[in-house]
Amino acid sequence: MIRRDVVIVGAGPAGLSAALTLAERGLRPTLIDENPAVGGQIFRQSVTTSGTGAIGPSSDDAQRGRQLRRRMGDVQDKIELLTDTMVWGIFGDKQVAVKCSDGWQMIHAAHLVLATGAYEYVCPFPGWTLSGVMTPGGAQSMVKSMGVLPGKRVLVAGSGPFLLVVAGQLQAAGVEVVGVVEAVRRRDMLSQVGGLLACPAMLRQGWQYIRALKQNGVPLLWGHVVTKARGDGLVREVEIAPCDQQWRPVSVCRRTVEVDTLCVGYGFVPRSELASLSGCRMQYADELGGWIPEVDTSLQTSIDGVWVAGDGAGVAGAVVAEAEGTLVGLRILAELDQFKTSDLIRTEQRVRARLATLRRFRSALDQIYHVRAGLDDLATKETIVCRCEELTLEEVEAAAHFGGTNQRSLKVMTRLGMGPCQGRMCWPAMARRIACQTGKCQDAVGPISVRPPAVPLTIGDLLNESNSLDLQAAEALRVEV
Amino acid sequence: MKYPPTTPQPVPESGDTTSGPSIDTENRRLPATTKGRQLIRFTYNGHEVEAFQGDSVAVALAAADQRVLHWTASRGEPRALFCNMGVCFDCLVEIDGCPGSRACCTRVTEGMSVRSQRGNGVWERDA
Ligand SMILES: Cc1cc2nc3c(=O)[nH]c(=O)nc-3n(C[C@H](O)[C@H](O)[C@H](O)COP(=O)(O)OP(=O)(O)OC[C@H]3O[C@@H](n4cnc5c(N)ncnc54)[C@H](O)[C@@H]3O)c2cc1C
Ligand code: FES
Repeated sequence: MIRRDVVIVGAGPAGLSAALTLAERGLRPTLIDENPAVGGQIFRQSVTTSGTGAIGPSSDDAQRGRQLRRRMGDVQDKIELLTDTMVWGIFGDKQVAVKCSDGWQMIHAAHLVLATGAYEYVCPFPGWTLSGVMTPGGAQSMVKSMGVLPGKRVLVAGSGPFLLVVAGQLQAAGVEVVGVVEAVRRRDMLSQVGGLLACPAMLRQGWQYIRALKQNGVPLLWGHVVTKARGDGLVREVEIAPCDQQWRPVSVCRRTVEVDTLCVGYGFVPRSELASLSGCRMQYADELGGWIPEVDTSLQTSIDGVWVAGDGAGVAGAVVAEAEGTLVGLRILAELDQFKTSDLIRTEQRVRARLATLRRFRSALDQIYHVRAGLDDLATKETIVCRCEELTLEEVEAAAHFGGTNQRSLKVMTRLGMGPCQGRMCWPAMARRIACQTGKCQDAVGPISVRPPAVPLTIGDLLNESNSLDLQAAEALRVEV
Repeated sequence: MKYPPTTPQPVPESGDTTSGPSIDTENRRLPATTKGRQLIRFTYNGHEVEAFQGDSVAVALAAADQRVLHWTASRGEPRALFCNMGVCFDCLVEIDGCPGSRACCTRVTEGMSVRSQRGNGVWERDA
């Protein structure tokens, strides 16, 4: 086994800024990401920014991305960068199991930073398993990182400001965006604008997205949800309905739109499985997207030396992720006793102040967009709720009726969450539904229990111990502290 | 739209894997984005598909208007790209004889052989 002082999982804004903070001050962190390039979900290298600028991130985002890349260029040789490398398990005391192209390897980390980001919250509705129904983020990355259009006529639906971003980018790429369907009602959004004033620049950015859609003739429907997708294997039409404050669809004024692709997602779920595999104490935070590790004010978890930053520590967006990464980097420097200059102390104070302001903005956003119970009304008895095991709502409810009201018993009774996604797709919505119907808290219903391997491995992978990280070289790299 | 229940695994004709509205393949790839990227050829269910260096299998197939990647085990329903980030496992295909490969997380390489996967798929040596 090889040893490292600091291992960072995830090279999005959170992981990158943690790595940069450490590297710029003389440490040599190991930065791991399963993607071929750094940048995470937002700054991932894109093929389209060069050709058609409009499809890339907004100018503020692009500027922050460029800045991170420039800093990366300056200290590149001080970061041990392992791309195309997946972390498939965490064992014992911060032993990180990684899979790279030529096999696997175990890295023992003195400090482990989990910056694994988030994935999209989806909820079952009739027709959501049809081909052509996908997540907004999935469609975005098709266009942004590979320059391929997900469809010709696309409806973007769900909730959250991210929908506006995706709709704008799809449109700029030449897709006919037939509309954006937002579950939040306009008046419920407007009643929270006061809180959003904490960050006027970000509020302005939101308005710009809305204005751009309007100028391009893309209708934005507040207070509507997609109730059905229909088609023969491939989605052909989508039914939308107005909804109430709780996002419960009402039966009047339903209408049907013809599409060839439907993008639907209701915000994000923290990807906190590695924290839970590390043994961190977890908590349910509805407004932050789901189960997250408990942390102290320095973002250290209940396990000494395991830190979290970014969306994986609670969904809060790229700007917060970057600030949190910096904070974790600074705190690790302090732990390693490299934190002596007053300059660093001032930097930490600045980062903390920035995070406090951003939190006020985020909590207003969370107030507006957090998932509401009315979505539970979308699935019918026949709707598949577990995409992997193809279980219907009726089957799961029957099990719930006979006492299957927590994650473990439902798994045993129905196989819910036992497919390859390990419950990542179905469980957030099902847990919410069960908690709501039984009046139990989420702790009683239980989190997803992802087991290693967190990503699929073949026996062949396990038999091959990688030598791309070689032990001697590894020892030489250790930073003396 | 059911998968033909025949064994050994039938090869859907190119373009026949979906009976929904066909998307005009010509315009699915933004021309500006292929500059400087090497052309790659691979096969899907035996048919040749053109892609560009850096494409994921799923996106290269989408550009060729082949959306359906996987047929579910018990209902035989077609599935396509859903999350496009490796978490949902809807995009499972057989790549060079290895089933259970996520098309969205695998880059195409020259001469790669990709087949749509039915249920848990078949390992090449078992087939
Ligand atoms: C699909 C998607 C698209 C988005 N697009 C936008 C956008 O256009 N604009 C915007 O403002 N915000 C966007 N967001 C939100 C924004 O990306 C996040 O708020 C921000 O990126 C969070 O940064 P992060 O560093 O916490 O996580 P991320 O940027 O998600 O980075 C986490 C990284 O960790 C890697 N990782 C996770 N688990 C493992 C593992 N086990 N092994 C190896 N690597 C792992 C992931 O591949 C990823 O690269 C998007 C989010 C998603 C999910
Ligand atoms: S599309 Fe979700 S795993 Fe590939």
